[in-house]
Amino acid sequence: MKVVALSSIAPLMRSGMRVGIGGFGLDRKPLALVDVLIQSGARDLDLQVYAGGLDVERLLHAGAIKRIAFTHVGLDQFGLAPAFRKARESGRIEAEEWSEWSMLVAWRAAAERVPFATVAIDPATELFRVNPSLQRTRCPFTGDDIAVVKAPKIDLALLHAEAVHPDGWVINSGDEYADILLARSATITVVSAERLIDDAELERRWRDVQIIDTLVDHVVHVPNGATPGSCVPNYGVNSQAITAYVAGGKP
Amino acid sequence: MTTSPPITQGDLLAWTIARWAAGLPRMTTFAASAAATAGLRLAQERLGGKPALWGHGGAYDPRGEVALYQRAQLFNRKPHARIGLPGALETMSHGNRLLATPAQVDGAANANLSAIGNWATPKVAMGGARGLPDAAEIHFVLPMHSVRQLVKRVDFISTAAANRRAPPCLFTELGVMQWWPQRGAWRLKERHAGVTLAHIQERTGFTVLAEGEVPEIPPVPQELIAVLNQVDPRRMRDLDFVTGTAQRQQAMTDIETAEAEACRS
Repeated sequence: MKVVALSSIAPLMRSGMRVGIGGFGLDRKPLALVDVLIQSGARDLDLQVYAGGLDVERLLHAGAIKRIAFTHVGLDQFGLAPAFRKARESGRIEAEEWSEWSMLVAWRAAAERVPFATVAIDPATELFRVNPSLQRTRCPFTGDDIAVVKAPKIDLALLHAEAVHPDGWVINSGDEYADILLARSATITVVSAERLIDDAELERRWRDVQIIDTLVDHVVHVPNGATPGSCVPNYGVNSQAITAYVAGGKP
Repeated sequence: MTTSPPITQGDLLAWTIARWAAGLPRMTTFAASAAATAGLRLAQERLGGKPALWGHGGAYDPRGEVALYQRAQLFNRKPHARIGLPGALETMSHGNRLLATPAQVDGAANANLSAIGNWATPKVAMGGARGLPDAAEIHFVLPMHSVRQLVKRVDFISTAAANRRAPPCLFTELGVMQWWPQRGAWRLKERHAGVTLAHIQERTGFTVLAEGEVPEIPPVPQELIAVLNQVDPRRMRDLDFVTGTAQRQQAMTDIETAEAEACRS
């Protein structure tokens, strides 16, 4: 039984820690957990996001981010992310830009507890110039010039799910995104969920389990935990709220 | 007497991409633009094209309706498989094709989706490179042809398309360009009716070459407009051409309302 109250995860959070946040764009972002992260007072965070959205925006508004690794941060149909733009354009945060496949491979290497991994990527991309975790080297077997990515050590993963069993079996009927890799990589994984399910439902839906219990440390029951973003198929985005944010409101 | 509604730029771009996709071997295709997605769906439905699409929700090769980001999986009908994000990205090394909409494309076939200006402190920070450097083959869809996006030199090379296994194509509302490796330049391959090379050159920041008479893209057959309306009933394809923040917001709200109604019914 790993179910805890939302407020009780705050002591897990420390300044300077490397935090991986799941979801994709505006979908299945653990915004309730992000709010606890902000309220905990943890600052100078070293963020890892695959496709960031309101999670990044809220943390930037709170002044909690020192460094961010990302493949993309945006608000999908609502356009560019205003706080991310401001932070990047002012040089206020350190940025590490990745391609999608290279970040997945780096997280997979972290999950497999190896220091780096090889990746197929356009050799001419200038990401090599701006991202020190992306390097070129010589293949020990063929002598060819190859690209390698450094595996990040992730302290804490924050994920949101459609449903979770109290023991930590995570169920999503939607895309897994990169959530599994974050759970496999992180030292501590916290999952918030729209619903808690019982043994009978877990037995019925075992094919929908995306993350197994041993990878999850804490489970928090938070209905609407991804709003005003979406948790498809449970609910869509709250367009009014996001439009109001883009027009100058709070994220 | 009933008259057909006018053909929109969204119809034309979708049709142009459908004609191209119809000749592709079976291959995963990611598309950033809604008009491109509608075109790929049209190619699948009526033109014998076999481009498999990856949709939100992990659905591989869905045959549903074009829809907004987060709702897309609700409109994914009869996907052939569920492969998830890592599975979809893995097709990169197995012959993935990406139809991308970068912020800039230049005269050397480089594309930028990272930053306008200096990368460290950009004038405009774009979202990020996404999968541009990952695709085995990449093509560009820039719906509104302009010197602002078609530049002499990109500010940051998110990816260099000229080094891919096939010469990239560049689709705009004026026509289709293709990279000409022997000349190291873009060549006008097809143009829409009434569009001239001079007109295209005027709206392009790099030199566009042509070889002989450049053929016109034939008009969209009326029966295929009907198919486009089936695969894209809420006309997402026209969103690529809506300018102005307020107008875009209104168009988006209209589509969201229509999607919500479709979900309820």
